[in-house]
Amino acid sequence: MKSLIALMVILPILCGLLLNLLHKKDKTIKILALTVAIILPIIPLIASYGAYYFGGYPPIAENPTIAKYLPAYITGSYLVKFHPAITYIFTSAQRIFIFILGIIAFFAIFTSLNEVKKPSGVYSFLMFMATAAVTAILLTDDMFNLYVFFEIATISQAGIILSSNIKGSYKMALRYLFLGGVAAPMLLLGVALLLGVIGNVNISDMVFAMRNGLIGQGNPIFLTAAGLIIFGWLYGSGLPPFHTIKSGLYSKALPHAASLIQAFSVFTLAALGIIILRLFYYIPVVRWAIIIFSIAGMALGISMAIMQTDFKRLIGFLAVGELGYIGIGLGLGTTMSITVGLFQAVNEVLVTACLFLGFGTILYQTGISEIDKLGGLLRYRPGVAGLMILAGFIMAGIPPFNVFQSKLMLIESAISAGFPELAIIMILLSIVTFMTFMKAYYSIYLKPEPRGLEVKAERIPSSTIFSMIILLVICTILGILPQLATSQFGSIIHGLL
Amino acid sequence: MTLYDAIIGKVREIEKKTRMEARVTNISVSAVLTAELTIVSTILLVILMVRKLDVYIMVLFLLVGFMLFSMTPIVVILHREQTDSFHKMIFYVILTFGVLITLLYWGNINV
Repeated sequence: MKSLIALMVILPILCGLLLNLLHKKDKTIKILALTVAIILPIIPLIASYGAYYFGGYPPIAENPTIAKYLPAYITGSYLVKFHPAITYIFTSAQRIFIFILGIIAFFAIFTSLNEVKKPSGVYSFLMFMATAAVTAILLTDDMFNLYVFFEIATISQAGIILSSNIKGSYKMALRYLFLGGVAAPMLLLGVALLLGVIGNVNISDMVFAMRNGLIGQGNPIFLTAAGLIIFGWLYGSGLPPFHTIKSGLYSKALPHAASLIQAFSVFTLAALGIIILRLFYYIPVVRWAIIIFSIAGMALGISMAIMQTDFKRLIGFLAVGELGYIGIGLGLGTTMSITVGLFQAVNEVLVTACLFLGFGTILYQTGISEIDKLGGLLRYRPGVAGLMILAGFIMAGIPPFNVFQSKLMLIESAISAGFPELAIIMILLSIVTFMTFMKAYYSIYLKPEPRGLEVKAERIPSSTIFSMIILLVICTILGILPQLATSQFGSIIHGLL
Repeated sequence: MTLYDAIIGKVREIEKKTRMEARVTNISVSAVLTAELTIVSTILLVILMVRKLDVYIMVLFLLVGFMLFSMTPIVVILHREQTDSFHKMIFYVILTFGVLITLLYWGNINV
């Protein structure tokens, strides 16, 4: 069943390519896209844990047939442990991440196909390509392969925005690509420097080389590589200085696409963050850099969110701000904090997706995103308003939901690690998140309806409501049983610390 | 002039400059005040925390903090700087890149 590991990436790519070719064949596009979208979250549940070697070349140490024909100076050296092939690693942590990514991708594709009369093969292609790219980022143990999929994810996300047909989406997508033109080559340069110093692009081999003294950790080239890779990480995840463009990107996407794109950002943050920790854990300033950028992301994102007058931008900034909690978990670098940071990643993906879909219903009903022009929407769809307030409570960290569990555990980890200041910052920003959400909720649902507000569509697509309910149910289950998720991350952390 | 008046004055000034049509409401002023207090408290707590990394970096953060506090309300300036202007974005991207590489290189030698 190990071939299923590769299939998690190959299947969405193949499906995307096929959809791209099926222009104007609406029914076929719908059936194919939905079938693959249903299969995506199932594959990680049935795949076996382990490593998949592309081309079928495991390390020499695992292949005695080849080893017996090699000279002793090779079989007796470190080379036997090095990975000659592009390697994908699938553990319980990847299982939960790819499962959740599959669920979000399914809801995004399902909602998009239900909201439009004529499905676009190109649009679905971009969603599948980006999903495949982020899945590969989560699985790969090869730095260059990671860079390639990082670029594919960037281009696909820009493509999704370009296809959204929202005013200003072209400019935003191009800005995102231009900034990517600065950040992504820096990531590649970091990879190239590591290749130059270590002679290998496999992450496990790099870690092995460092821990066995094959390379000095104070090496200036190594430090520069650390800086360059962290810079790429900031771009991929949307932490400052890329928080403005990332929130802009969310605001110019259709709601279902925004829910998917934010999942890409969160999982890129988690996957690259873990790689940075694996490579540079023993350089304390790297963990400090992660913490400082995470705090900056939280403070800037949440304080900008509360000042927004457009709810799409508001939720965009909130999504960016919440990323900081994950970064803090990783930056603290303890077993508990990393576990909880990854748990927060799962939680944030679920609740933010729900909020994007929920805010999308307001846009669907009124076509307006300026908060000042809205009001009194509670009487049209009280059920959806109820779901929205639940999602807002979850994001702010109200018990007994999943985000409460992860934020509480993060605060405990910060105090245990000797950083009470961080704990206070996290509490403070959670309160402001709650206030931001309530400000938007009051203005949209509770405030008297402004004169001239036209509610064009009272009926909201049932696919959207269904997706929101399922996401909220998962949030509640993870809130009551957090160990369902937290117990899955041991495999990653065991090899890290 | 109280902080409240200073913030309202600054919000009006910015709105005039940017020709915004929105009115200054109770909600918008309380939002700005909340954001301001959040930013100020976060900066103070970060300065306090950074002492565990290095005293020199704490002094550097303290100086930056004082510079920011002298420009109160900070959040209005932050709001103006965090627009969709490509020039501003690229400026902060390059600035961050320079600071990051310098700190990492310096940090490993001195921390």
